[in-house]
Amino acid sequence: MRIATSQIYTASLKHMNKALSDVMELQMMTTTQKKLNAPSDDPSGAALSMQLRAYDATLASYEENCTLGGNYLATADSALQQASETIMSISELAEQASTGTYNQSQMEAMGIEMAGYMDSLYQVSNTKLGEMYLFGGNDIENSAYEQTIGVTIDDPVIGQADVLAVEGEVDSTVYIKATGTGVVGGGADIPYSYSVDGGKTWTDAVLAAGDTELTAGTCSVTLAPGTTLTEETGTGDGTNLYVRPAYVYAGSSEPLSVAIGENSELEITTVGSSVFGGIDGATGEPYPDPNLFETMGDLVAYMDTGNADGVASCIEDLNEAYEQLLQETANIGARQITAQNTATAISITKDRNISQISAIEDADATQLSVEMAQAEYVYEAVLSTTTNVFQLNLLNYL
Amino acid sequence: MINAIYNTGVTGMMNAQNSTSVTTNNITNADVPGYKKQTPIYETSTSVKTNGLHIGTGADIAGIEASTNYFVEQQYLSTSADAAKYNQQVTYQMQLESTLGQSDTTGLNASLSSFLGSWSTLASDPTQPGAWEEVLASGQGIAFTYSDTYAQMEQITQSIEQEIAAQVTEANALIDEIAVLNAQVAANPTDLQAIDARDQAIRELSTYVNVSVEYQADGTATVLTEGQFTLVEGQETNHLSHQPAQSRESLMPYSTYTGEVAFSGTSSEEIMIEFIDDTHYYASLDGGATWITDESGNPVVYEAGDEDNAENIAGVDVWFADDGTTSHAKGDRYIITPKSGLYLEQNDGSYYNLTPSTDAEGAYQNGTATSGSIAGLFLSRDDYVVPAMDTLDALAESLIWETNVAHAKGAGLEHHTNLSGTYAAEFVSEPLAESGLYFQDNLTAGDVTYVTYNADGSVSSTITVTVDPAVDSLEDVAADINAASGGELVATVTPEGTLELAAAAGQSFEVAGDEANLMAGLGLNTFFTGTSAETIAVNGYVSSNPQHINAGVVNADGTVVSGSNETAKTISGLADEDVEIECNGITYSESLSSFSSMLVSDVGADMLSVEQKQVYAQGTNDYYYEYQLSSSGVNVDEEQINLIKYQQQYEACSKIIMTARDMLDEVLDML
Repeated sequence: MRIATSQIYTASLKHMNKALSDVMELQMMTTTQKKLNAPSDDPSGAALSMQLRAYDATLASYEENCTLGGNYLATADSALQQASETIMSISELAEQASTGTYNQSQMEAMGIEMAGYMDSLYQVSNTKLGEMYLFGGNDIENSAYEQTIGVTIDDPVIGQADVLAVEGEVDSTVYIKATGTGVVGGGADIPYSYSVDGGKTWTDAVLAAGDTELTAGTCSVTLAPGTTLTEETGTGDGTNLYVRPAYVYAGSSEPLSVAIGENSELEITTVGSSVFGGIDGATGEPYPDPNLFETMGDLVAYMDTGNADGVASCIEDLNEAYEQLLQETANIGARQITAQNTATAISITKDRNISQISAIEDADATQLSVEMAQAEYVYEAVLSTTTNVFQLNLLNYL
Repeated sequence: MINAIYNTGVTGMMNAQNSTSVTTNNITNADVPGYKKQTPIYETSTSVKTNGLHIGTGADIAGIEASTNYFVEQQYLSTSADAAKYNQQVTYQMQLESTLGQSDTTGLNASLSSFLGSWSTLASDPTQPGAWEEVLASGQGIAFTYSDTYAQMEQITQSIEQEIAAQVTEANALIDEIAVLNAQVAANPTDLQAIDARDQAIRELSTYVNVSVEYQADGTATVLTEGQFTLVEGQETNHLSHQPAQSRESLMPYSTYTGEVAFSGTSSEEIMIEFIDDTHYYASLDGGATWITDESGNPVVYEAGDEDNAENIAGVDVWFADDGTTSHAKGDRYIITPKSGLYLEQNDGSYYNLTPSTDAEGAYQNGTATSGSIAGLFLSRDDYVVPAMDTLDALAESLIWETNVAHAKGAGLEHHTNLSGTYAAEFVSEPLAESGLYFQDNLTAGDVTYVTYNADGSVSSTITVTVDPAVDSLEDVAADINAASGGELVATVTPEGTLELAAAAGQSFEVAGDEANLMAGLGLNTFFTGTSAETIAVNGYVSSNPQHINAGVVNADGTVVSGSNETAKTISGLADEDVEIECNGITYSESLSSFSSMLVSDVGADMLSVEQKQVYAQGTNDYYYEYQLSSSGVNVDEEQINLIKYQQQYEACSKIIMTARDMLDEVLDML
């Protein structure tokens, strides 16, 4: 083939450019240590790596939720361990008080101790981690329980549903008993008396005809019209009401749950009412048994008034409430394990995910250095042959 | 006789001199583009009869020839246009690709992951101000990523437009130059310089548009594009023209329609419509080869309407003006080009549309520009950049809608006293589904529930209205809310066509439920505003008070619990969720992240494919370039040898003259 002089130059330039662009491409891969630098380097790989990265981000948020949830649950768990110990002490105290071998002032002392235990359980129920209440369901910003007063009822017919409101403040139990029989809100007055010192001294009062509110010093109990008060004659078969401290649940009925998988969620807070019971803030009535706070309220009331039989009647409720707390503790423990196991599983998946991303994106350093050496060699060879070709000239021989 | 020898010697010397000139010219032009090696053509002179013998009288130079192979030149011109097209596409598609850089921390998916991840963080503690800020920052981040990527693509289309205009001007200058050189060649067919210059101009023109050349007997070249449209014939020229979006009509001879077709919106498609009776028509996006069909494969029948009843075809609103809508004749056709295009000036002053156009399979339509860098620019714009922009728009629209649907029925930590809609209805008394609301097709029939609160935060009332977008207008909805709320919640339709909700004095409200997606459709209580990649932004109502970030929902009793995180979980769950995304007439059911990666890999795959085509086309073009150069280029060594040859010829001829002189001296000495 005939060669025009300018062909020598254009061909040389083209070859030099090609060799140099190979060097540059490898050089870019070497500096970034990636073989995928632009989507066109490997379009399907680029798409796959984007999806894997998105998946990785999702996994990271699940993992974060597991870790965070694990911490919340661990805190709740240790709080309930402490509560469980407190209940053991309460149980012992109740057993003692139920024997009937203690006098009034000893019983009162036990009542004060019991109120102390009750307060410490109240503290447990309002456990926080950071700014978040752990036993208020998903109402994490507000305390789970608030102090109020409740009434313990010892009566053949009256139930909690008949109590419309308990208002006022009490330092220790206020004991109200009917001294006459009649229908609340009816046409006749009903006499009653109350004691603020555990039954040592009594003050007489009258529930006027048509009235429904029994006033007893600093507190009052409003009963539903039509409720029958029965005269208490000392047999314990009449109407006995004890107004004493109680706790109302102010949290939510739904726990706070976070996603730890595409279709799985982890409850990271606990609905306190299912552990501690107390009074339902929405209805004003106590939660059904087993109800730890209400049982303890009853215990305080009976101890304050030296009622050993009353204490004895609460022991079974206390045991049931204790069992419920243990069950909830086990439940929280189980959720903690779920969080841990899920986090472990996620981190294994993440590792695999990352190594797959790396397989798509990262350059093989060894292969790259070999290819780089090869490309440099080719470039040098092109340069050297080019100079040789340029030297070939007829003029040298003329 | 001796005189004859003298003569022969002199002619030989003259020949050697002329040949040396040609050689010298060759050497000095060795590097001039388009220069073709010239060779003196020697011919034996006539003989004379002396003493009964026929004796030769030397040689003459009959002419100087430029060596070129016009068959190879045709191949060169055609491959040159191909290579130029792909080179141009590589340039712009590389720019397009560079707008979609993806890494751990930047790019479409990274910003999406960080946005959805921030909602997951918020879900784990909805009361934490740090989490609010993260949601806002990542929301603004993804909005910026989309709008900035879109703006960069927009910038590319603008550069393409500018370059098309510049290249059309350059091509026209070359067309004129070829015509002028044709004239010179016709006047002086052996003017090799003029021929070389003309052939070089044709070569340059072939990088802009596809050309083929027919050489005429008078030496002039007729230049055609796409093998059928004349650009230059003798000294006559037809210029190219870059023209804005337009429509053309082609009515049946008996059609009495005197109005005009009108359109608004832009599309990379060319739309052809043909009437099937006096009011209805079919539409085609491939020049009439196939009609647009519905899901069951039947052609979609469009109805001619006025501006308020325009039909939307491929994103362009089409309507008829000035002469009613029912007086067309069957067969009346319109071609709507809702984009700037390439046109060829015809002899009668009209323009022929040469804009490159491909059908769904990517095949070129007959009679449009298929190669050359101008075609490459149009193809980059219409087949790659604009579709990528449409895809990005679809992605942004889907993110906006999915986030807003969840957010608009959620509740934040602070109740509303006032909400203003961000999407306007054009027709406030038409049913919502036809009201011109951007998201009108996404509304469904169902109940919308609001809860109002007293100043102390207690629940005041629950207001439920039933919305049927096929029946109720925006004004009806406002009236229903006002009637149901008894003055606790006041709904007003603004003159702009948006809806405003305001609580009565001292009261506040929340959206407790929205089966109709009404709130998202009207842009009330939403996280994002805007409808596309260009306009997406975080709602100022949310960013100015992060307590309006809706992490939770309103409970059945009307209260909002501080740790309610249903909405946050729904939004962060979009990471795994397949959503419907409509793009270029196709409905995808993909997660947002896999749709984003589809966009990136599409652009990457197109880039890869055009790069491969470019390498092939350039290689073929180089081959013909070398082939032609190999026969017509100057080899300096060869010319050196010629130089020696002619020098020796000159010496030899001078020797002839000396010999003849000696012979004559001999004869004179004898006297």
